[in-house]
Amino acid sequence: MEHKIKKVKSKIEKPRVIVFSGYGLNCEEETKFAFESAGGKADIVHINDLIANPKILSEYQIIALPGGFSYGDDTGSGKAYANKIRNHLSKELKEFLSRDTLMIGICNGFQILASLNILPGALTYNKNGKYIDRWVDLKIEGKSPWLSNIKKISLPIAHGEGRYIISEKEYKKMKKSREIAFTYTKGEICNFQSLEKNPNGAKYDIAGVLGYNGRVLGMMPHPERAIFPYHSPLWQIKKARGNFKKNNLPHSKNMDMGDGILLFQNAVNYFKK
Amino acid sequence: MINTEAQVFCPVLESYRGVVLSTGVYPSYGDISAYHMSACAIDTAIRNAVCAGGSFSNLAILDNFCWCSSYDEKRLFELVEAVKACYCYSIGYDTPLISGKDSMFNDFKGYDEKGKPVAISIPPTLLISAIGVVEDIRKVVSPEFKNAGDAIYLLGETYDELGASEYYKFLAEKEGNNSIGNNVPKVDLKKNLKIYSALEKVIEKELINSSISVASGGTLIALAKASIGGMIGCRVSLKDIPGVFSSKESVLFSESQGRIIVSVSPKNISSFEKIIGRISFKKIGSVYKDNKFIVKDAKDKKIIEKKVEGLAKIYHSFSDNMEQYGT
Repeated sequence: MEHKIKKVKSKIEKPRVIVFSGYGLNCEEETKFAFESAGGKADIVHINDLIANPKILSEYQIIALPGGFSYGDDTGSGKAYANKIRNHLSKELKEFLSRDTLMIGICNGFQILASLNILPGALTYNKNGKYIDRWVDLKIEGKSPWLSNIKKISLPIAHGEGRYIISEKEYKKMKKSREIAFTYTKGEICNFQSLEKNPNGAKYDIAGVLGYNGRVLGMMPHPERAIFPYHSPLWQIKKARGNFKKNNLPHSKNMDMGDGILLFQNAVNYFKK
Repeated sequence: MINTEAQVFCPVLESYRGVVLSTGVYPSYGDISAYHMSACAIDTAIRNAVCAGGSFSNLAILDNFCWCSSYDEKRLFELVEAVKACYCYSIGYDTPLISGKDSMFNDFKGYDEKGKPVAISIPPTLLISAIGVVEDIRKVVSPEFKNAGDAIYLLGETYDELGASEYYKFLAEKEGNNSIGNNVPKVDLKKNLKIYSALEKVIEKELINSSISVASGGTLIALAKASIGGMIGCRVSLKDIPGVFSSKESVLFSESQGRIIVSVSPKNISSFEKIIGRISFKKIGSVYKDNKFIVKDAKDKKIIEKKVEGLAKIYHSFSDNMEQYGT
């Protein structure tokens, strides 16, 4: 579906990010830290505070729905939180998406966006019925400001309901318009830890999808948990072999940043062009 | 992939300071001596923390008593012995016992299926946890071998201390008896403190690529884990390793405390050996690019040659077999 937006001409030096919180979401601190290390200004806002003052949404360039266990995954991951948004913030959310903005849903956040039908498809229980905590290798397939200049990336996952389901018809359409963001692939993590590439049985190995011309990204893996090179299971071996890649960013206070920061950097830079 | 004996957390995002956590527990040693069981639990918890990058300048321990009723004289004696060891070694290592838990009456009195009265008590067990602050998590060291060509060293001394070891328990189970031996490992505080301090120093100076604490299963198991963790081979000979021992099983499976296996890049060997010169150590081999795990015993005779993939399969078979129960 084409979503026509008015292209904003003015540059924004420090794009503002609203990171949702409340009712069991728990990744907001790291998500805020990631955006700010990339040069943005992030506010953690409890959904009730936003509902009490919904106009503030118009002040933000980026919405981040972080990971966690909202509502304890009762009635299915993300469903209750999505209902709360649908019942109280539909108008403001529609207005937000009609501007030249970006949105990301990470893990529980992706489940919320799928429940809201902001992104296509659905997420259900992992194929082996268990919560899985490991790293995965990803191949970037989508066209999106979030994914500029990234071809492959390894990130951690931690979920019980990460199996993405989509119809074959819808899949073909998405593939054509490059709305499949990432697919699980066999890379350095899988080779080192002898793991299968697809951890949860997601159809067509889909780990993340795009919407609204690539402005909205939903993904099961956690980029905010890979913002330091020391997060990776391979960091000790890479350190010992001297092929440690460090991304030094101006806003990162001289800290070595890992690959996960690239997504956040892309989002912040989108508004600086 | 292998389980590690220590975990490092970095809770403050803007800082490289982190927390190292580790444990030590030997339930079977208590069958022979409650004192030495407790001493070894403390020594191992500390050794595991230092192996990863912990420092005596900021290290504390916790005691968890999982005990049975001490109203019986013999059990009361065991309890007092365990507490004596806690006192002796926490003061000796200058690691305060900052917290703990006691569960002191794990006993059952009831009837079996035939209506006969039965009483069951758990073996008294002390679990020690160690917690420390590491100043820079970029310096922490993981247990697995990493680079072909790295030299492998065994630090510390090996003795005939197979009492209640994994190896003797394995033999006893095979033979269908309770013969788990008598010589449970003892902790030489002064000697071990010197070894751990030297290890702390070489880690601080970033001179080693891996370090694994030798504990349950002894030297051979520690070597196997280091290879499996890195999915990389090694050639090792246990000829002339420091210590006093009379059996070839001791060399392979003794659980003597105060021992660590490290791997060192050739470019760091001279600086490394300068620091460990004051403790007992032996260069026992090298890490190899081919995936073959080859170990020779104290008489330099080959006792095992196996592909690392095969070892990894055995190591993971326990949890892989659990898969069938989950679905």
